[in-house]
Amino acid sequence: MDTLRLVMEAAWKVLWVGLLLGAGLPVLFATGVRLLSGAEDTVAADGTVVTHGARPVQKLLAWLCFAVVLYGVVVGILIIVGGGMGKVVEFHGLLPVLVPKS
Amino acid sequence: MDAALIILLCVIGTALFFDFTNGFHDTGNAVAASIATGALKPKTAVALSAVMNLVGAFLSIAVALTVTNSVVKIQADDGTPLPELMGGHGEALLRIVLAGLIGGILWNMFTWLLGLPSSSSHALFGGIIGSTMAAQGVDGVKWVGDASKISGVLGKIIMPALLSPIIAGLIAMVGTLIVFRIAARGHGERTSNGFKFGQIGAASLMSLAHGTNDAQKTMGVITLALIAYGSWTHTDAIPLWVKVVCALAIALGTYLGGWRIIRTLSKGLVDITRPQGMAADGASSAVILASSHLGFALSTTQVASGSILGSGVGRPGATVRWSVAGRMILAWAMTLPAAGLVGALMWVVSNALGGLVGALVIMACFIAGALVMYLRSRHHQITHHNVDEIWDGGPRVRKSASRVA
Repeated sequence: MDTLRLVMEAAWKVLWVGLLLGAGLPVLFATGVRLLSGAEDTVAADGTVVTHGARPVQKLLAWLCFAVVLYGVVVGILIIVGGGMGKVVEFHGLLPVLVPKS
Repeated sequence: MDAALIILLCVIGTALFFDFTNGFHDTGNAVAASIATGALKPKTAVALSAVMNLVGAFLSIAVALTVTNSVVKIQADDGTPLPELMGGHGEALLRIVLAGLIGGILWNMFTWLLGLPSSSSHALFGGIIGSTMAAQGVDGVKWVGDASKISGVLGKIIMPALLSPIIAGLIAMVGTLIVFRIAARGHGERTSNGFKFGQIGAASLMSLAHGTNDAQKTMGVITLALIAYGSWTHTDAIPLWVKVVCALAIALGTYLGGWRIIRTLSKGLVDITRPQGMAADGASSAVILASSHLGFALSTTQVASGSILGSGVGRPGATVRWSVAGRMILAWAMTLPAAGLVGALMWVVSNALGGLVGALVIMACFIAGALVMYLRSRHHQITHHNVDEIWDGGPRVRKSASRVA
């Protein structure tokens, strides 16, 4: 059955790409959010509440995470826009380009 | 005014109404998780989704004229109707499309009444498969595609329906498991706020994709009807007015919000927390876009429901209401045959009475059916006011509960 084979091949690809992006990007985003959030407030010996913000390194790493997520979102928007115009996204290295559907 | 013109107007009106039901039936796919976690207020959520659907619909520049080609044989490869269906201003084709659309709409409204998220595109295809089978026999349907590309009822509908919820569910489960680990440490409130933006982003992306994909189908159906009638000849362009009315119909439907379905998705299946909501929305967007990129046809509804279920399985200590999930899966399985049966019945009635009378009688059946279901829905209204009440054994909101809120 050719149809079964074609569908299973496509579904398998969707599963892996989906895992990479669908689980990977939310995890990266969560990591970024977590890094930016710092730690829970603590109470010092004298009773004042101490907030623990993010350190500069954490901030840098967080924004790196967000940058990767943003790249994923841009690719996603290109796929949608391409779908509307009858085009598909092709990757030249990391650069996504819209090309006419073959 | 000749009979075919009146039938054409019926087809256009029905197609637009289908587009409208498509909008409210699918609002929940994009926004249910955001509403459940309070990332967006119900009204804001549907407004955002409606705007993204509108923008998405206007992004549809390519013509989806060959929309029925993967499942039935009523169009040639270039999208023009088969010559044998073109006699008398394409009356034969218009009648098949009209009967099919009615089948799709009535099933969509019935599942909406029951608050069950089921696939609008499967309902549309089901209706058209049914009416084509009634008109052309079993051979009028492409059951299995050939070796060149994924096609046919099996490849485009049945297999994806079996696989896509599982794929989406798995991805959301993995995402939820890890996101919960990460979120467990760190500043609770600030983390939770961050997740909110993740959810809103994913919901917007899904709504945009929905507008492009689903509005394109209705645009294709209306353009096909216009070509059959003979008032449009281009196979590579859509009349501008068709694009505008289709975009408005799907956006208006989305804005109306299918609250009954949103309720099932946001409260019925699992109780959704922020990290879970973000994982589910992320998984849905990625699966929808990846499959659109890889040419794998799937139902947005099944993906979104699968992701929400998966996020429930992945969250430590969450309860998944499998009885609700079971009802939903039953609705999925019944969508194609049920819409098909109504579509076939409508075609048989319109054919038996013939011509204009036949078309008007099935329009009357359609309007009566839709009206009955609308009136029925008013017995237990679900609106943006009570959509997020606690789930108490069923989709109905208890009076006492809503009074407290």
